[in-house]
Amino acid sequence: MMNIRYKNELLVVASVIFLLSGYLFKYKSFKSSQELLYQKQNELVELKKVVGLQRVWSPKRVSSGLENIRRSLSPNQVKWDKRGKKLTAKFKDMTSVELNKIINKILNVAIEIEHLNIIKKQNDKYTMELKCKW
Amino acid sequence: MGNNKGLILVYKGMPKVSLEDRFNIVLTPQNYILKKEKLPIKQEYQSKKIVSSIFDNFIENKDEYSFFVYKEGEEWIFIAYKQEEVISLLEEAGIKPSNVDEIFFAQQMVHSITKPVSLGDGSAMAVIDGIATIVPKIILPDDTVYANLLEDTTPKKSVPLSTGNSYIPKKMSIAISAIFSIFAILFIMEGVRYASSSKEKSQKVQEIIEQYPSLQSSYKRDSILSKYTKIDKEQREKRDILKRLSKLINQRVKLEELQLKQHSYSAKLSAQQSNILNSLRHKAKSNNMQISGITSNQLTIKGNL
Repeated sequence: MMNIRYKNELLVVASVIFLLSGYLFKYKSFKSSQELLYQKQNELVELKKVVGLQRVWSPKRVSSGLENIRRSLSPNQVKWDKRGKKLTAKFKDMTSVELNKIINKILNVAIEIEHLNIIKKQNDKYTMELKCKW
Repeated sequence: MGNNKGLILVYKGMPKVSLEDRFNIVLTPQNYILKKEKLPIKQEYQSKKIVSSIFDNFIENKDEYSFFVYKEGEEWIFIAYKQEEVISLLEEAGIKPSNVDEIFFAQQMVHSITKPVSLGDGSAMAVIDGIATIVPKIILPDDTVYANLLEDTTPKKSVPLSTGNSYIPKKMSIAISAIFSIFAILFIMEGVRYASSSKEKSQKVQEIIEQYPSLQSSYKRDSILSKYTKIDKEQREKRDILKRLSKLINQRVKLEELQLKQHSYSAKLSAQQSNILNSLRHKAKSNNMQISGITSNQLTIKGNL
């Protein structure tokens, strides 16, 4: 073994270097894990948002929802024009209760309302025109 | 302590030694000054406090000396020696000081020195009145049989040889290094723990992606997100307007007309009594709706989406 001067100091210096290396490793590890955690958290939030939006605006359940609207009035009150993923529907002679019911149903179906026109006639009955897509 | 290592007696004019292993040394009285005192102290730390003053009239430049104290029976043995002198003695004998761990003193082995120990041509070490002493060989009988120091009598106490010019004592440097190393290991362990902590979130993301493989691509996700976010915002606004309007309608307030277009809306509400119409106006305002016209029995609300 070499005769090393200041070997005690060297031992202390080496342990200080070891300590600093350990601290640096911990610090870098902490930083990178925080960054990764933040990134993954954002990814998770984004994914959940995408999945949620897809579920809400999914066209899968629209058809049954629209059929439900159609069947809630007598056929002579409804004029139904569905082309692909677009619908123009006209409702006539509705009482305020029927109107309220239909509106509530429309609100709960994931359709994109493009145009909604409601007019009260002289006999206190309502007509409504709905244009929507999905 | 290193008491299980080899033991070498070092003295002035000793033959050259060529050893690569680590070992301990025994100093003869040539290299130390000894004082034996009966003192009313019990603890070693107390004796260490007074060791310097014990040699007050014997040595000058006390800073150059190192001290060693131990108890022998009822008496305290105080030894003063120079580390530098020991190192140069070792170097003269061809011994690397870095190979030496611990220093023992011949006085500690006094009970095992039953016969004089030869220290080269002119002198020997013998025990006189219980003290290891250097004597000239000339005063010893011609037929004196010299003995060697027995390694198995290695004393328990020793002092480390400070090689080089270290400012930090060996024990302290080991203690500091051990503490720092423990902290370093703790930091490393913590670092490893941090590195594995983000795995949980990665797993959750992976689970969702496995359920919806189409969402694996971030471009696709962005595209879906931008498409549906726009739809979601617009349609929620439209539905919100319809809900707010329906809250204004009751048995005394009728809906006359409603138009909901792509970016605007308008509604006409009627009431037979003016106080109801006034109350309706307040309600509409508190619902953040803009009133664009009011007649004796009708209120018109308009707004943009």
